[in-house]
Amino acid sequence: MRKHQSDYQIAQKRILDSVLTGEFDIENRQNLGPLVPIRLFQVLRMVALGANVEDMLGDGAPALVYHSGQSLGQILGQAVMQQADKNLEVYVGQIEQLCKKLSIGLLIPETIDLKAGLFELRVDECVSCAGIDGVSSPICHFEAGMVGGVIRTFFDTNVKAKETKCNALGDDTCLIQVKLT
Amino acid sequence: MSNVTAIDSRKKSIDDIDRILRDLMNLQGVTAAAIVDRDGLVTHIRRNFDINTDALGVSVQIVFGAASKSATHVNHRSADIVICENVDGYVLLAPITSGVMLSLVTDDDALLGRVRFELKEAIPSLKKLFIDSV
Repeated sequence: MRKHQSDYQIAQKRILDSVLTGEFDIENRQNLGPLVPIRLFQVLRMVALGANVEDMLGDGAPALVYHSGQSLGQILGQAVMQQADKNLEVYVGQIEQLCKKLSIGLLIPETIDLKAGLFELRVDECVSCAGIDGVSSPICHFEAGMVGGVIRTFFDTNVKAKETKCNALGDDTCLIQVKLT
Repeated sequence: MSNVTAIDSRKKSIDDIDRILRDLMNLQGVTAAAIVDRDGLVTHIRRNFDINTDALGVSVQIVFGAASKSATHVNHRSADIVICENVDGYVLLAPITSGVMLSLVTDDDALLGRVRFELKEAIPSLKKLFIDSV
């Protein structure tokens, strides 16, 4: 028997298939085209999946956002994993290209310490927090979860990812620290 | 020398946390005892069945967050303990400190009052361990 899929799951599959194949042309947007302003993305990320979720879940909101990012990171990681053939350098390189192509940000590895199980990756020009300032703590929980999901997929182990620098705090980049656990 | 002391004390904390979770697991019907950090990651767990720790961790934070919000909406200040009464058992959630949560999962032969009592007893000890380890 075919497993029932919710409408969100059907939409998710359609969207992710396009993202992973790089097919960004889109039906029913003959006049407006496939691109939207970053501010609209930020409305979805910081308002719909930020302030509004926080209104409902309070301190539970960052966990939900982190988990959403982690799910996406795992999907991206699985898609790239087959081509990378267990080579970390190739794997990270492919993820960098994908993040650039999707304009998520410029992903740059800062620290890779396999012995300590510690990774630090910069996200320059982060799509979530570009042009935002005056916050009191890092706000890119989605990106932290995404990077964590990518690393977790490669090593097939639990990780803890934390944003230690954030553009919106006045830092010159968003820095995600990932520890294998 | 100071580094050695720090590692030793951290190990002692982990051992103490594990002992508390083990004691909670010894209660009738308790099938899992987990500590979840503020990001929804399970940091310590004892269980006697397969469990998706990712899903557990994030749901603990979401459910407790929603319950706390609803508490403020009815002027109850904040949630103290959240008890989910399910078809086949209970899930109990309680805050330890700074967003860190204790979660207990039971089957349906657990004595809810006893589990709730022991949960409340465990919180101050866990709180001390987490505060000391920061």
